[in-house]
Amino acid sequence: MTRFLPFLLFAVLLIGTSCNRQVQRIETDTTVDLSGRWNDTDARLTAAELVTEIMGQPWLERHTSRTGKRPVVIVGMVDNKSHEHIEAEVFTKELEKAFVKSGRVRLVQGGQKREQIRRERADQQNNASQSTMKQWGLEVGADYMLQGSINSIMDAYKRKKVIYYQIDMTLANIETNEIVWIGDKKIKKFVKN
Amino acid sequence: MKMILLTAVLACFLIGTATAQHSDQNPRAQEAYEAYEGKVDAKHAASLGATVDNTYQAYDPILIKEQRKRERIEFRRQLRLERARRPRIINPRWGWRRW
Repeated sequence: MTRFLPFLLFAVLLIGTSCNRQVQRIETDTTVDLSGRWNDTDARLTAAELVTEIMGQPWLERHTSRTGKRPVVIVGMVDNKSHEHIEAEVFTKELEKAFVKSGRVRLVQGGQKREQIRRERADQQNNASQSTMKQWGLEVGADYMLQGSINSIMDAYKRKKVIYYQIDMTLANIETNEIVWIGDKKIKKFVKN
Repeated sequence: MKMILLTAVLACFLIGTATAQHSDQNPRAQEAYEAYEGKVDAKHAASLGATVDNTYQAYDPILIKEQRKRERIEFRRQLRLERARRPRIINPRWGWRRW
């Protein structure tokens, strides 16, 4: 038995040292660039820029002074025409949050979530009490739709590459198709492997 | 009798204002609406708030090199498996195809 003890100890040591993965919590605003691809920092910078632009532009004042009401916005589609998968919801959610927090813009639900709300309303017609069930045909119609596109250009030579991202967001009047606001964020990266 | 007349006039006025067109509205607006009416389906709902991927493959020499390497490894792995499965056919004892 004593003969196998060193081997046993060695095996235990080997197993122990092979599982040395380290995980640490870092601040969400810390910039960590690993591969050079689109990452959380890019999404955060885009969100910050677009929120500043959309809340500071005159479309908001113009609408309020013309109609006397707060504009109602719905988030439309974002077309990703870049070379990577970029989830636009990361920054469109920031825009939605800014709308709701400011209290100057009203936001209506769209997409699958709106379908879920409608299904729940339909369910209420059968199961909720008369005093609490919600009525059909009282949804708030949006005045504007937020749409966007993501484009990228990559230039690579040997171990170096330059990646350029351009995120464009537009706010269009649903009745007139008029674009009342355009915002963009441009990001350029130089990656050396 | 006067009351009935007044009510009728009022009703006509209300219906008239409710169905009145915007002064600058296209007279064929109803046709345009009917053309789009059937197009509001589940696809439209799914497109709202969504990211649609129309991505392209960028030229990246490093990625191409890595892909070639992966393909080479996979080809050799498949070849080894085939040799183990059918040694006579894929790895004959004679002939020119002796790897």
